[in-house]
Amino acid sequence: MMRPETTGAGAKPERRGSLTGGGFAAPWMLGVVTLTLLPMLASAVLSFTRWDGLTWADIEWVALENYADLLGFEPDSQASSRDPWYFESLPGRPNDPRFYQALYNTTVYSFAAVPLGLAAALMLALLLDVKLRGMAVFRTLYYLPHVLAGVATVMVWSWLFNPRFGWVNAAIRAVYGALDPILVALGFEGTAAWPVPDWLYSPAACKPALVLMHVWTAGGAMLIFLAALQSVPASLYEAAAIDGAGRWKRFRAVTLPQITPAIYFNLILGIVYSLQAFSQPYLLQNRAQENGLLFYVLYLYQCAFQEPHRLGYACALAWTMFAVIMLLTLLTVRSGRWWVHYESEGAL
Amino acid sequence: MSGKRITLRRITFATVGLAVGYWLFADTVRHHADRAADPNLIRFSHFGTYQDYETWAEVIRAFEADHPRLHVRQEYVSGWYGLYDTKMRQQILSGTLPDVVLVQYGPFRSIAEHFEPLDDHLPVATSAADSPNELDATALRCFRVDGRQRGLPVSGGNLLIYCNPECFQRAGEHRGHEIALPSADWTLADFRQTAEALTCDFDGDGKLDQFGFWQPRWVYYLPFIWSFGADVLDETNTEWRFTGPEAEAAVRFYQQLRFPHQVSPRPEEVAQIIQDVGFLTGKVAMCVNGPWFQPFLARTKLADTYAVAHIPAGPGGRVTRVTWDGIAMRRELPRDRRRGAEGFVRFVCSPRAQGILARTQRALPALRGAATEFTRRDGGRVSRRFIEALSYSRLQPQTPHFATMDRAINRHLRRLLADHDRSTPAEMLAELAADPAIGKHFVVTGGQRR
Amino acid sequence: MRRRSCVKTVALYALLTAVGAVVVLPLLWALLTSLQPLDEALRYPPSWRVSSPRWQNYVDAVGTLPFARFMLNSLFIATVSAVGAVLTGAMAGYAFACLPWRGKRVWFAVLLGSLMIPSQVLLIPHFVLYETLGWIGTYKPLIVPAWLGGGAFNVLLFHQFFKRVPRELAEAAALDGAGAWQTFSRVMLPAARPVVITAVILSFIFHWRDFFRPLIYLTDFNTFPISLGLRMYQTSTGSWVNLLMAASLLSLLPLGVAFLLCQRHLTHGLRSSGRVGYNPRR
Repeated sequence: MMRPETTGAGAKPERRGSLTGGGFAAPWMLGVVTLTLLPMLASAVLSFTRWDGLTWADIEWVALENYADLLGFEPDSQASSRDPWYFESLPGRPNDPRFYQALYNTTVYSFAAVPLGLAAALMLALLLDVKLRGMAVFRTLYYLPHVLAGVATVMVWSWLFNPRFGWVNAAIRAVYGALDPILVALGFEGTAAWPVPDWLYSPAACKPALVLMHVWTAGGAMLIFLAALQSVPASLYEAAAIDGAGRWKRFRAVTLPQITPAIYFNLILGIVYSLQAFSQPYLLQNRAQENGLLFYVLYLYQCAFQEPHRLGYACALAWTMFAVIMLLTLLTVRSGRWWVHYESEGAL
Repeated sequence: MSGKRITLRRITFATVGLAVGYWLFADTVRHHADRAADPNLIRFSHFGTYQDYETWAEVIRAFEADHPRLHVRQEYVSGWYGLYDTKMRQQILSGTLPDVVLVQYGPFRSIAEHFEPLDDHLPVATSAADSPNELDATALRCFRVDGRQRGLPVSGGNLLIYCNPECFQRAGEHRGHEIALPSADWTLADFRQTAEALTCDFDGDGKLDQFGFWQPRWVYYLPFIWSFGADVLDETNTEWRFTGPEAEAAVRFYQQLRFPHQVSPRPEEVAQIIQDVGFLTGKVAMCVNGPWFQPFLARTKLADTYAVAHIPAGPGGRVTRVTWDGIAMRRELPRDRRRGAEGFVRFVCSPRAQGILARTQRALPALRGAATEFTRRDGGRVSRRFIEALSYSRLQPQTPHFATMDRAINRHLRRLLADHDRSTPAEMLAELAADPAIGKHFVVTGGQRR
Repeated sequence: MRRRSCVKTVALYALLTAVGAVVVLPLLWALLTSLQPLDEALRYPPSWRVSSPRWQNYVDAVGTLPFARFMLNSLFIATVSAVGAVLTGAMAGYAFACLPWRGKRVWFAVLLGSLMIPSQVLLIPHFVLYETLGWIGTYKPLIVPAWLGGGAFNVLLFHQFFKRVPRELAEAAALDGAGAWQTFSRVMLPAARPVVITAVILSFIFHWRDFFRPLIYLTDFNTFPISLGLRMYQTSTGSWVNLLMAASLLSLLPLGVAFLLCQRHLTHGLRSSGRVGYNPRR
């Protein structure tokens, strides 16, 4: 995958280069070993124990019992077909239905939120990449949602998504109202019976609500795309213009390939972070959703830090998630070889 | 010339390195060197809003005024109990628990062993029954684990029924006769009647505009369940008791809040707002809530007019639910710090501190004598009911599987309300008792009387 | 500077404003709520008009808590952390993208892997580590991790952008006699200016909004950042919405202004000339 000799300032002898490279990466390496690797190993060991986190003496080794409880099924029993993740060939009722619920919720959310978030961020960045007066104001405006403090955003959004009086449903009803005469004139039924979603109070519509919230805070990814767009060398555009390429052709042939690293970056991080979404479901969950917002890390948090405290089980959950994310990321990284375009040679 | 520059740079690097090293590790050395620390320091942690922060700051100031040599460090955790609990458990694990901590009684049992027994520090009781120097008996029981008093109660709250008089008035005008506020000894039948009278369609468009009662979640419905004579768990909180005719009656009453004669709004009808807002805005005339609602109401237009009624009496009597927050002292404190910490604990349960805490009306004082402070703000117009209700208050069941139980009950209740044509309370209770989540954590036998 | 027809300009402005309006709606709602008394703020249907703006809410929000103190604390934590995170993240990203060193591939796998573990599970080992170091109650648990690479996000961000910088730049600097650090600081970093600014902003915001770690690691009320301060307005029965919105908007204001001032730096970079040289005499 990586051939060290072909990257970087190749004139230096390899040993000196090794020292320099290691030196530059040293602070990060120290951080990742003490703050991530070692604690990860500790949590891996803990996943084979039963522990409530209060006294060291209470740690009890149970080997694979946590994983069996997590992933296992109770034979001779029937899973509930009311659960959204139910399918017919399940070998019985799961030992932990909430695990499967959490896994289902998180993956569904992720598959919707990541592409939509990327598309929105890219479109916003393209919109902002023009030279107009007052662009500074617009850029700030579009970025502000990302900045607004978490809990305040939650309050704001829970009102906006209020099924009866929120502005989102008001907009939807306005659209229905506009469509109604048109449809009636064309001979169809009017829009009177068309449903308006209950958003955060319905098991089905709560995830779309969260997806929309995620798209609204696309400001972070937008900044990265903006920086990428600004870094495309003007010479390439000039060359394309000389060749007579129109706007769309320029976008497809010049812009898009040049920003593929940014897309790649946002995609991987989008997958990784959306699968670990925590604070929004934590703040927005309620009983009416019937566990619709029980996301994976939220479930993990509940197991670890709420009664009855089961830290070993939570660590088993963490490592299962690790495996899932690693799988998805590997697929994305492998695919990156085909569509990501770098200026310099060498993949990754 | 280059030699000099290198030396200067080296000196700069060395100085910066030393400074950073000092900044990083001076605290480490300090931390391990004087583990014994200051004998006159008392570390006290609590949670809550900014009001709570200021109230406790006042308590601390009063304590320090009485004990000039002692100093209390207020380790406040902003917000409510969840993250405070997480932090406290980290502190227990690493041995850095503060000397005195505020605790909720629900999760107390699982951490009780880390606190010192305080049997010797109960306020001195005189021979008279109902002495003002006594702590509430039920509250004391909360923090009594395995025969030792591991904590002392500080403040608590029971559930009563708040009434919005503007709603009563509006309904009275609509119906043409006055609807009286609930009397002190009203029954479940009276409750039902009042709620129906309060549920009105003012403008005649077929949609109800005002509702009599906010249908509470089951935890707030516990007073009614108990008043029917039913129960959820037994005294040891290990056996499932939510079955039998009394339980069915309680669940049926809950169901009938919506069908066939609706007195409680469906979530869609109140735009999914929370109970407090529904009450405040007059959409719902009555709701179940605790004393913590009072400081909130005091800042609104209902401040001088809202009323509070006792829980209506039923076949099982009149019962309401109470929960308590308490204070506990860390175990194995060194001798000299212990005296200071004990002094603080005793002070918090003394009339002066209890008075400071009670004055905000956010919670009931555990010390009986402080009741006068609790009722001071409104002259007892409303607040005295909470004091009176202490005589018929029961503790909320305390079990490490509370969250599971809560989820299961909510799930089944919601299904009952959704399929009201197809399932009966008896069926719902049977399904609930058969739910694997319940069966895993509680002993489920056939329907038994308490 | 292409000339654009009048129609296109107007159309662009219209589109920008429309999207902007959608984006800014929640903030607008927050502003409205912050000017209402509690009764009105909780009323439904939520009112679009404010009968009489209650600026007292802002005074209350600022007066109840040591607001300025909290903001300064947040400013300190976020600034120091952002600087450290960007510096060490850029160094590590540069090392991964441009320098050869032994074990780079393994460490890159570790980098990606470190993203995939939910941080909640690492809480206990972290707490025990910081407690052993005696850092509980200080800002160190918040700041030091930022200076140790600032997390995988920053490293990956810089890695991606340094890969796009043409090798000729580094080679030209080497020919001019630049050492490793000079190449990095004088040539590569300025070339990646948009990314640097982006990373600074994102790191700053991340540390500004963080409330979980300050809650666990800080004990003294006077050291609280504003993220913890805002939590004091929430009760178990709902919150003082109007005060909370007022406080949130006030805490947002300096961030917005700072962003407005420095976002023009996002437009510089390789676009115009692509030629940034190394001057050894500087």
